[in-house]
Amino acid sequence: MSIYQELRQQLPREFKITLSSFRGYSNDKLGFYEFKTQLNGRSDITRIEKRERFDAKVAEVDHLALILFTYALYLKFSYGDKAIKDAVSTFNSLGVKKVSVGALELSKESKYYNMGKDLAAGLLQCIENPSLVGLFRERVKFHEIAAWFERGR
Amino acid sequence: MAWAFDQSVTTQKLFRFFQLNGAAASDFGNRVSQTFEALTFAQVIKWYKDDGWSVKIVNPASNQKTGFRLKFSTRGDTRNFTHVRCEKGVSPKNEVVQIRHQIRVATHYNLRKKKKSLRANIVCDVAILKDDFYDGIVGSMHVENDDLITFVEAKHMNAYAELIAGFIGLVHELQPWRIGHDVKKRRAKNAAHPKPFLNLSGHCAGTAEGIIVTMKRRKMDVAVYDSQKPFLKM
Repeated sequence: MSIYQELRQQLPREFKITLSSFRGYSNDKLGFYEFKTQLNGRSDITRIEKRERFDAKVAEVDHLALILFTYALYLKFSYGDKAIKDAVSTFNSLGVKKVSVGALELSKESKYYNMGKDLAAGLLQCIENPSLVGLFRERVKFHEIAAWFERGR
Repeated sequence: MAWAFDQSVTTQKLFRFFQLNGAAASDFGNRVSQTFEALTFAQVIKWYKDDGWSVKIVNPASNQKTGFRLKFSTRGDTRNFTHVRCEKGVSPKNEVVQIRHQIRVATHYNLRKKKKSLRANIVCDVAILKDDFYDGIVGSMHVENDDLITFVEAKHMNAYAELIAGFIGLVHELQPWRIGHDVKKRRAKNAAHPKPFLNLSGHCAGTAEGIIVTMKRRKMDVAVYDSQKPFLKM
């Protein structure tokens, strides 16, 4: 089992769906199906070589899918952090210090108040490349992340 | 291949991250959309306050200890949740409205008495209603369409064309005169209130932007706000 598959297996369900959708996007972006068709049709290379090239392409697609997935989660946590802080500050400006929405409590003391910020920071620590971290922080569009990836090949 | 970074190291780190934080990340994701609806509700209240309305927060009588309480689902009894009463002007020329959240409103086309349906209604994330008695609205009960002044739909996501089109459909069901052909009529009605709007936590891009351009061209009396062009600047 590849490391990508291992990671996918231990994700919560909704994140699995997100990762799968980015896997589809990466397949399209990196021309996976065309590559596979062409590779299958080639008679000038051995089966072992075909396997090696195929595995390399799969790794490339996995790689891009993971980057985009991480970026999507980073945005989710960052926007979520902003939504919570904006909500608390707007309610405070109206004189409301604590809001209950079902089991969720919105206040500066709530466990959710800094959760998004901490989760986003945790994801950035997983990404070691400074230029990619810079793109994350700038909140660029997804196709710009994909373009950065393709330039790095 | 000269990769920009080591995939296996990154994946291992992500693996550990989700081992440690998977449950929290999932929980946070679920909570944030509720939070965004609450934020939108607060922003609408603030708009009225900033516009010179006197604002009175009415917390549920049975729930004074927990104070400000918002609905988690679409079906709770209105008595058990906070609403806001806003007033402007001096009696008898004053105007009073209520800001409610997660409330069912009958569609515009549910007016014909003989063919009235109990279920032709839509839940508004935030609704501004004429001041009236709305306690005890529960389950699939609704307020009448005539009581609706304006409304807001909140979405914690980026916009795409189909989402914008869905919002236009919502306006068509609730207040079709906002997007009809009679420009003068729709400008005059409820002009002292925000036009119905879609509030997005993410941003509008691509095809969603295209639809918004055509909405402006058609002079629709509705708006779309996102993180780059927010309803209220924070």
